[in-house]
Amino acid sequence: MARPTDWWILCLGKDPLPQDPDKLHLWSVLYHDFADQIDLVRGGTVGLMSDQAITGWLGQSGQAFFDALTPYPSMLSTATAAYREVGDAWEIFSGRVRSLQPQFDSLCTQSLGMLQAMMSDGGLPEADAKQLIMHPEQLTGTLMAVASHSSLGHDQFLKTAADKVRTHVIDASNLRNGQLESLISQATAARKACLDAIHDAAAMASRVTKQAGGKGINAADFGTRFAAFGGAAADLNLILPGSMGFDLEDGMVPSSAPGPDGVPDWWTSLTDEERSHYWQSNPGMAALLGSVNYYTDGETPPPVSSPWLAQTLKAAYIRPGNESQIDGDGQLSTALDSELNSGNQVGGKWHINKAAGLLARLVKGLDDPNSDLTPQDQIVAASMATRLWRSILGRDTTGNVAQMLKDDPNRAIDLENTLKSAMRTPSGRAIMGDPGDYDWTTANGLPRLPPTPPPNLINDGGVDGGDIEPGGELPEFPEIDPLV
Amino acid sequence: MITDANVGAFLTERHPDFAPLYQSHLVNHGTEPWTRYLLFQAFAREFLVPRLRAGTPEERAALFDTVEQLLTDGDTLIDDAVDNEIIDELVYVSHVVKHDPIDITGVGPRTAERVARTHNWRPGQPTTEANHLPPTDN
Repeated sequence: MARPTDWWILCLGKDPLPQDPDKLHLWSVLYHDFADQIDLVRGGTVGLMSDQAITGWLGQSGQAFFDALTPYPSMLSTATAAYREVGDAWEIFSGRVRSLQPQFDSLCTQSLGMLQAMMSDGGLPEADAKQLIMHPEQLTGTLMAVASHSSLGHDQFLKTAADKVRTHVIDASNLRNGQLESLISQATAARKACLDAIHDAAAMASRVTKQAGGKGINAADFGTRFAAFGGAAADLNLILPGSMGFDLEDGMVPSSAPGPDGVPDWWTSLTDEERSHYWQSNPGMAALLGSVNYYTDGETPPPVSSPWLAQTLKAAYIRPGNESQIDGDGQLSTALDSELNSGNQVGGKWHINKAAGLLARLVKGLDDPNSDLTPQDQIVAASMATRLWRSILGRDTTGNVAQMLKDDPNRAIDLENTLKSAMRTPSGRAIMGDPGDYDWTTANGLPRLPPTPPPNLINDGGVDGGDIEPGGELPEFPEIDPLV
Repeated sequence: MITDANVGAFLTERHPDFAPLYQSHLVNHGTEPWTRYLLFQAFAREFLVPRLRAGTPEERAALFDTVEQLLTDGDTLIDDAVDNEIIDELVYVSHVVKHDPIDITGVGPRTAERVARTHNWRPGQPTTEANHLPPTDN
């Protein structure tokens, strides 16, 4: 049965345990067989040394022959042990892979099933269902945002399907937080045990090969002598997995603690090559880094190494004005939240175009190979870009921001062009989505989810929780954070 | 009309010593239209403010005139970027900082009106004519 491939749904970049257990078992057999052959040679050597017919017939030369052979049984015994240890390690790891793989696969399949159920129960497009299932910490807000996308209609979705979808999202999140964490821990332990055994075996084999290549009565010309007894010295160079193109480290295990908290440790622990690999092969990497929201909490920019990023971040914090002039943390995103929520400017000016410009600069910088971002810088840039994007997507409660943009087509066009330009970069696409995902026809430059026809039944009075007037306030959902 | 297309030339022609900073901006951030906010941020923080603090009266007058020209002849995108970056910075260095604030007496009328609007703004209030009065304290 084919194994699943959609590991993103478990917040994994790829298969966490891609090794083939049958192949591992075969390797185990081969290493044990070779160990047995060396042991046979060892037995033959000991037999020759104790054969009175030979040593007695040779006289003094017989004693020399005995002395020359003396170190070999011990060396061969060490080589035998080394090969057996590797064989044992493969066999144990094979068993662990055989046991863990179906459990990983089951988690992945179950989560995909929940995704499908969200699409069918909620009448949601796949993109919206993915957004929901991957960001349970924003569940309520995203439910509100995707309601108008539902084929059930905005109001019907909120009345009849939102709770089902919510349950699926929470179930999927619980799967990731509970069973997945345990499986990742077991897989890591199995991999480590295997690597440790190989390391020990390699150390043993190294002692043999050093003796074999050395000089003196105890080691000289071991290869020739070993060949004389049916062996080849080269065979005693332990064949390690890497030399056969077998990558034991293959498989991406971001962290033993899934979720944003685990991302920074995982990302910064990778080598440059590994980071580059994941960045290029996983289109959602910027969104994963951007989920680390707390990196850009606070009233001042976090420290970064890149000069251009440091300069760019200055624009993300508004100069403090008179006492309490800027509410909250003084961030540009907070000012934008306030403007969209209240319909009033902050500091006597609007901030939507500036926020879009800064967002575009950040995502382009993330994808620029010359931007010299450290791993920490990448997280900061993605985090700030995500923060700005969430604010831009906020609900224009009074319609004042949209009206301002409509009254100034220059600014509306600039806003739309800037956001679309940002979405065309890989990181922008990961964080913001595709331009085609949004409705741009309102001529105000603000991206909005595509409209759906109004539901036939509203104000039917038959559903608990109250009816929704066209254009009225949406019902409040209790905030649930399943990650806590 | 000053637009994204000619604002770099406008600034460097009026202030040739801004050219190196402008080149640095182009290298760091490129020429796409939305980088205008970063351009005016650099102009305000790294060029305008140090010269307002230490420059001759003639230099200060030329700088104030540049800001006034941007507000007078800039399109609405330039206007918004100047408002967000230069005006905010002028309010900050002249009214907010406690240590060694900069005297911005001599700014043009449009600049003064924007400075007053920003300075007098209070949270939760829509921008009204009352907020456009000149600052009352310094």
